[in-house]
Amino acid sequence: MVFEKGADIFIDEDECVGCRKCVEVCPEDVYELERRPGETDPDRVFKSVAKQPENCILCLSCIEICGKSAIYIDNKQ
Amino acid sequence: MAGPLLKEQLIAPKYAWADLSKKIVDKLELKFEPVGVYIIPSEHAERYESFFTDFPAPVGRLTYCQAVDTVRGAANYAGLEERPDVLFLKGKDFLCSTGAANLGFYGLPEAIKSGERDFLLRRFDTMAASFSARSKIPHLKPGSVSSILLFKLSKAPVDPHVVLLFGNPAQILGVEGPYLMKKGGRLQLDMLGTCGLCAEMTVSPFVNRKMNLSTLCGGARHHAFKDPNEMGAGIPGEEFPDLVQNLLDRQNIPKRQDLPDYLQE
Repeated sequence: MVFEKGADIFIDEDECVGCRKCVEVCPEDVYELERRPGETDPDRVFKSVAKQPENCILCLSCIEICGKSAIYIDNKQ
Repeated sequence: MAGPLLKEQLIAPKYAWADLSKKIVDKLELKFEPVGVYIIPSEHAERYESFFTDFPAPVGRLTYCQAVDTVRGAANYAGLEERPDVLFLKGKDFLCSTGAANLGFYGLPEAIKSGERDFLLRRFDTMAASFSARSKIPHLKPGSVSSILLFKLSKAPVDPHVVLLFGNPAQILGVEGPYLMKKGGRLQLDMLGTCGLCAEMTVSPFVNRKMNLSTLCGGARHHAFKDPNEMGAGIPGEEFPDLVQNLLDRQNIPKRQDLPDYLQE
């Protein structure tokens, strides 16, 4: 059997504070930060977005590092 | 297709696992039963897998540690309405690629194999240290395993290759001494604190044919094992019956003679 990249990734926008940790730890550059349009709260200006979920190698670093438990892969944390 | 003789020779349990499980649970006052692991190699997989078609597979992917936590009865991560006592796992069922790769389903993704993933997590000071640690983690040959059967030990449909036992340090101490009771010696541990259930508790005892202890790992504790007081022991299946007997015999000191009358007052 050969490992195939890719996963269903869901980020709970209400929980994500755009801390950038998932961006930093992902070895496959799955995540990017995006600016929340019109957001004025300095702690919520950014949010993480799974831009390339097809690159996910299921290392689960993002889930383990997320301090807000905002990331779900295949509906699991 | 495998015939009844092969099934009797290879699959029918040689030991009374329910009895062994009850004895060790009672003696050590374990919270959960041990879990048995049966590893089905890729070669002639269809012959072996045909014996286990009645057992459920998870619905959706889960990590190896979640699967173990499920069959032992602590939680239900299997996506099945009723928590199963036995789970049949193929490579596609794994949510954690590292666990599946350690267990021999496929090769590690390159970013994990190179040490980059652990380095990015700030687990190591350098990529070289990360690569070195990663490359020494016990693992089975990529592609050598087709499926794994996990089961609550009392429900063992086959002699397990490895038995996973969880408990607090005092309970694990309770199996460490009796393990060495017959031959003596010392236990040299094979540990990093990464890949606790898959590599340290399953692959290491499977390959090295000796018990290994593990403090589990960050992944296992994040995804499943929530009790920080728990640690684990992986025991080669064929050594488990002796271990239970040794445990029951240990410090069961025979009374060699009655005390003299004058000391009984």
